[in-house]
Amino acid sequence: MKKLQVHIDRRPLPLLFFLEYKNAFIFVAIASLFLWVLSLETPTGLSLEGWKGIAIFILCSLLWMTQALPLAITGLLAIVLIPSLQVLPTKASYALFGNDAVFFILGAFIIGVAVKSSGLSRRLTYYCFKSFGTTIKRLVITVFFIAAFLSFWMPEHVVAAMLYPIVLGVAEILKLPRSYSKAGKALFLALAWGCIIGGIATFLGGARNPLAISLLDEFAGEQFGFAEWLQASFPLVTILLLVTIPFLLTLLKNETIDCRSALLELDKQIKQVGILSFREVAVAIIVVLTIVSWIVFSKPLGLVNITLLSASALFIFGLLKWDEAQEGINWGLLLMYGGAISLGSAIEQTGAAEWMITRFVLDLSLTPFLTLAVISFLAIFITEGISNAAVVAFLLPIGFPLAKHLGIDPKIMTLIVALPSGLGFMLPSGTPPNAISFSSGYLKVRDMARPGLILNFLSWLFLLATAYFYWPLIGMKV
Amino acid sequence: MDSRYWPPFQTEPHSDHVWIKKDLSVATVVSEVVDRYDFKAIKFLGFYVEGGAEIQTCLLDVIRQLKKRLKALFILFEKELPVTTIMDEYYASGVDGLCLLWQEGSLFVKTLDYGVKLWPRGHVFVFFPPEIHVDKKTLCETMERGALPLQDPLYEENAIIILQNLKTTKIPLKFIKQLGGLGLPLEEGMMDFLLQSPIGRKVFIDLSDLRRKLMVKSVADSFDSAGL
Repeated sequence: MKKLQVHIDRRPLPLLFFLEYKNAFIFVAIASLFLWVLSLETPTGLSLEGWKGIAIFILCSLLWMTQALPLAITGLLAIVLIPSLQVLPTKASYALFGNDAVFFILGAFIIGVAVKSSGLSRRLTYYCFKSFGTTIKRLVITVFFIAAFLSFWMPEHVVAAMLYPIVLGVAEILKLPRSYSKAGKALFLALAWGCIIGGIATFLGGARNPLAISLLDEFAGEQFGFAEWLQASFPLVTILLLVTIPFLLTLLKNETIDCRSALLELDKQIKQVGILSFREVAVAIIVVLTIVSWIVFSKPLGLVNITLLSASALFIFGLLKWDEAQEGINWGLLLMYGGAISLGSAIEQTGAAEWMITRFVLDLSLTPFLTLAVISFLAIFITEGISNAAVVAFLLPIGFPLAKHLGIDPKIMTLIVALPSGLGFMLPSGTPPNAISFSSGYLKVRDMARPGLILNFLSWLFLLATAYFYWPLIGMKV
Repeated sequence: MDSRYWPPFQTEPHSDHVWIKKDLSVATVVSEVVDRYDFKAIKFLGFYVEGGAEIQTCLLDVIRQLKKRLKALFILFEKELPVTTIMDEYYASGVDGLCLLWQEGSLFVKTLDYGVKLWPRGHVFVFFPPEIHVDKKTLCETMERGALPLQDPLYEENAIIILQNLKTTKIPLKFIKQLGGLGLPLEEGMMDFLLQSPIGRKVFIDLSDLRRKLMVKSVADSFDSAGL
C-alpha cells in the first residue's frame, strides 16, 4: 500500500482560516492604512505629491515586509500607483523601471546560469571536495569556503541551490542521521553561512547589491566600481569567514566519521562529469574577462554594458541557450527592483524623503556614526524577517537624504545598508541559503538561531569597526 | 447481515452507490461514474468497498479523481473498521461523511470517536442492522459521541429516542438533509428549502471543502517535517 502522506491539523478552525488567508487579511489591513493615510490632510512643508508618495512608500514597504503580495506584484503596484495618483508623470514613472541596475541584474543572472549549466561550478566543487575533504572537519570547511567563493561570482541563492544536492549526497553517503547528526548540522550551516558571507563580497553575490548601487546613482549621482566595492567589503568578509569557522568546528567536537565512502562516491561523480569540455573552458574565459573588465573598464564602459556584452557573448558563442537562461533568471526579482527604484525616485523627487528625515530623524540629534550604527542594526535584524532586497528598498530612500543632512558619504550609507541586509544568519527566513539548508532536515530552528544570533551581533560590530577604522583609509569618510 | 439493508441510504435518480471491487481499475470506476451522471444534478455518491488494503488505495484514487469532477457529497460506507491513518486519508481525499456498521467492543468506540472528531459534527453515522435489537442506552451513547444512528427499517420506538436525543446532543442535520431518502422520519416537513436548493447544496459542499482545505496538510509542509 502506498505511503500515507496527509497530516490533519486539529487546531481550531478559525485559527486555521486566519492562517490560510492571512495574506488577504494583512493586505486588507495595509490597504486600509494606505487609504487612511491618503485621506489625511497634507502636512505643512510637504507637497500633495510628496504626501501621496509617502503613502505609496508605506504601502509598498509593508507589502514587501509582510509579503502579503508577491514581491514582484508589489513592485508593479508601485509603478502603477505613482502615475495613477499623479505623484510623477506616467512616462517618468515607467522610465525609471528602465534603470541600468535592472539590466545589470539581468546580465548577472544570465552569467550565473551559464556557470551553473555549463557544469563548471559543479566540477570545481567536486574537485575541491575530493582534494580537501579528507576528514569531516576538512569537508565542512571545504563546503564553507566553496560556498563563499562561488557566492563572490554568482548569486548566493543559486550557489546554495547548486551545492545543496551535492552536500546532501555527501551527508547521505556518510549515513549522517537527520535528527541529531552534528556533522550534518555543521555541513548545512557551512553551506548557508558560506553563501551569506560570500554574497556580500561583490555585486554578484546578491541582487540587492546592484539595487543599492542603482539607488546611490539615482539619489546622489555617484557610481560604485566593482573593485571599489570589493575593496570596501573584503576585510569584513575575511573577518567573518575566520570568525565563523570556530562555530562550525565546535559542532564537530568528538565527531569521528570515516569519509572514505564519500570520497569514493565523489570519484564516481568526477568520472561521470568527464573531461573538461569546451563549453566549460569558454564560459570560464568569459567570466574571467568580465571580472577583469569590471575592474579595469567599469568607468569608461559602464558596469551594465560590460555585463550585458558578456551575457550576449555567451549566446553568440553558443554557450547558453535562451531556454536555459529563461529558466534560471528570477524575473520576479527584476520586477520588484524596477518598482523599488521608481518608488525611491518618487519620494526623492517630490521632497518626501527630505521631509521625513527633517520631521522624524533630525530631532533625535544622533551623531553620524551613531546614525550608521542604528541603521545597520535595523538592517541586520529586519532582514531576518523580510526579503534582503526589501530592506534595501525600504532603508536606502530614507538613508540617502539623512546622509546628506549629516554629511555622511553616500557610499558609506550604501554599504551600511546593503552589507548587513545580506547577513541574516539566524532564521530560515533570513536569506535564501538559510532556507535551502534548512530544508535538508538536518537543522532545527534553534541550531541556526543560537549561533546565528551571536554571528549577527559580531557581524554588526565588525561592520561598524570596518566603517570606523578601515573605510576612511580608502577614501570614504563617516 | 442481510445484504438488502447495506448500504442504508436509498438511491434515487440523483444519487447512487459506487461499488469498488477488486477486479475494477481506478480508470474504469471513474469513467463509469462520470458517464452515468449529470454532473450538475447529482446530489451524493455513496462509496461501498469490498476488499482489503489494496482496494482502499484504489478507493482513495477514485474519490480524489471524482471529487475534482463532481459537485456532490461523498459518503463512505465501511463494513470493516478503518484504522485512524486511513480515516485521515479518506477525509483528505474528499469523503464528506462516514457511515460505520455498528459493532460491539472498544475498538469500534475508539474508531467512532476518532471519526467524529475528524469529520464535522453530523457527518458521521452508525448503521444498526435490522436483525439486531438496539437498546435505548446504545442509541443514546452513540448520539452522545456525536454520531447519528441509522436503521432501515427504523422502528418507531427507536425513532422517538433519536428525535428526543437530537435536541440534547445538538447534532446538526444539514448533511443528512442533503442526502434525502433516509431511514429516519426527517424527510417530510423538515427539509430546509435553502439546503435542498442547488445553490444551498453548492454552498454546503463548498464549506465542507473549505474545512478540508484548512485541516489537511501534506506531510511535506507539516510541522514535523519542517523540524519545528
